[in-house]
Amino acid sequence: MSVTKWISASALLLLAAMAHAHARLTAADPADGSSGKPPAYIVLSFSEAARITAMTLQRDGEEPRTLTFPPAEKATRITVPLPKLLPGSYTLSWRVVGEDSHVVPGTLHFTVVESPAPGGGGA
Amino acid sequence: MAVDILSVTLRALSFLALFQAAGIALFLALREQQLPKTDSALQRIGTLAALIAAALCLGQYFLEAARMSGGLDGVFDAALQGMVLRSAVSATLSWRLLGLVLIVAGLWFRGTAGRTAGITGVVVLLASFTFVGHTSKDAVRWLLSPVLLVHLSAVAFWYGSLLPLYLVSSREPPQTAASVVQEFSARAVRLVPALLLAGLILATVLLPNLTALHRPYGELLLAKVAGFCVLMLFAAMNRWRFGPALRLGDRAAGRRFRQVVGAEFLLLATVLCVTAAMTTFFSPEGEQPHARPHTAHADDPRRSAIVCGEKVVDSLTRCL
Repeated sequence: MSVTKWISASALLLLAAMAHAHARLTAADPADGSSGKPPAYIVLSFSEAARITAMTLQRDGEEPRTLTFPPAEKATRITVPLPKLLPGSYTLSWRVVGEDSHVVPGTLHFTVVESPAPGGGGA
Repeated sequence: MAVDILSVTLRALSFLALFQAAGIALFLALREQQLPKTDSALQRIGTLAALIAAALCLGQYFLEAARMSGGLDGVFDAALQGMVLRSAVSATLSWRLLGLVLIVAGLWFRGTAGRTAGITGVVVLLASFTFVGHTSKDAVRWLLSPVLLVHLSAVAFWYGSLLPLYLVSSREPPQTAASVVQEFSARAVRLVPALLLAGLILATVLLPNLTALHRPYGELLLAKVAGFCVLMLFAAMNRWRFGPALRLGDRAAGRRFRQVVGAEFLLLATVLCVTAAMTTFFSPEGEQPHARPHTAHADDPRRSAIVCGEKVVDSLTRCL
């Protein structure tokens, strides 16, 4: 078998191992730049199934705090519970892994303008 | 950010070492004559490149968990390392290491066995590039993956042959050197259209429209095309001028030939590094960066993942 034929045959055999897609954020709730009551959850929607690998929430002037999220399979819509938030500007940062195995970072900002209900803790 | 810079640096260096090892394997497997004064040096350099590539790939693999967490502490996170282990990144590393082992075997075994091992290693190694990344996501990946394989094979042969050509022109007798250069040029003439066509197909399928050329992925792609055009100029100089002059034993021509080969090497190495950054941080989709939300402040440049990539590229540019 010639070298060219050998390379072609090998390439064809390897095609079976290829797959995967690529995730990008399509929507978020609360939306980037929005302001309102303290949200109880953050909901991120992606174009393809993705898995969160890290997430932090930072209130202006404070250190970022790591958010815990339940280990889950990849999903296009990911909901993460938030701690009770005090009024202020927040930056949510995350990293997700998409179907193509790329690590994709992202951030969004929102503002809490109302205090949580009495008896709630602060962020 | 530091983790991302470290990761892309390892990725760029691994590209250089991987393509050097693959290119030397192809050069030795496809050459038509023995090169008594150069062969052993190429075996050693190819082996060293393969070892360095393996170390860089392993480093990049362990750093993947750190990229997932956003900090170096992720390297020691068993859950994240487990996630990497079960991902396509793990399969990619396995195929690359297997390819490198076969390449080293091909460098040291003679005859058909060595040639077969070397070429198999190169195919396995380059195929690993199709397991992850932008070409692996598309609906027409059945087309993109083999096209990418052709593209990478051409680059590996070209880039990896430059160092052997440099050594051959300085160590072998003029007749032998001229003959090897002529052999390479004849192959390069067939490679250029394949490289161009494969690149054109990849760009056409991956880029959503022409305006995507004004975004980071498209701009870096145009930079690669510009680099390719300059490379063609260098290649033409060697094919038509300095290469033939080698046969006459013209020492000045030999020196010029090596200078041009050195320039080609640097140019291609730069293109490989740009590709490493481009394919790590940017998406050909352009309009929608990796994680930019559809929201009121989406035009704020600080609020998108694409800016993260731009900052890294800026930092790398300043470092260079």
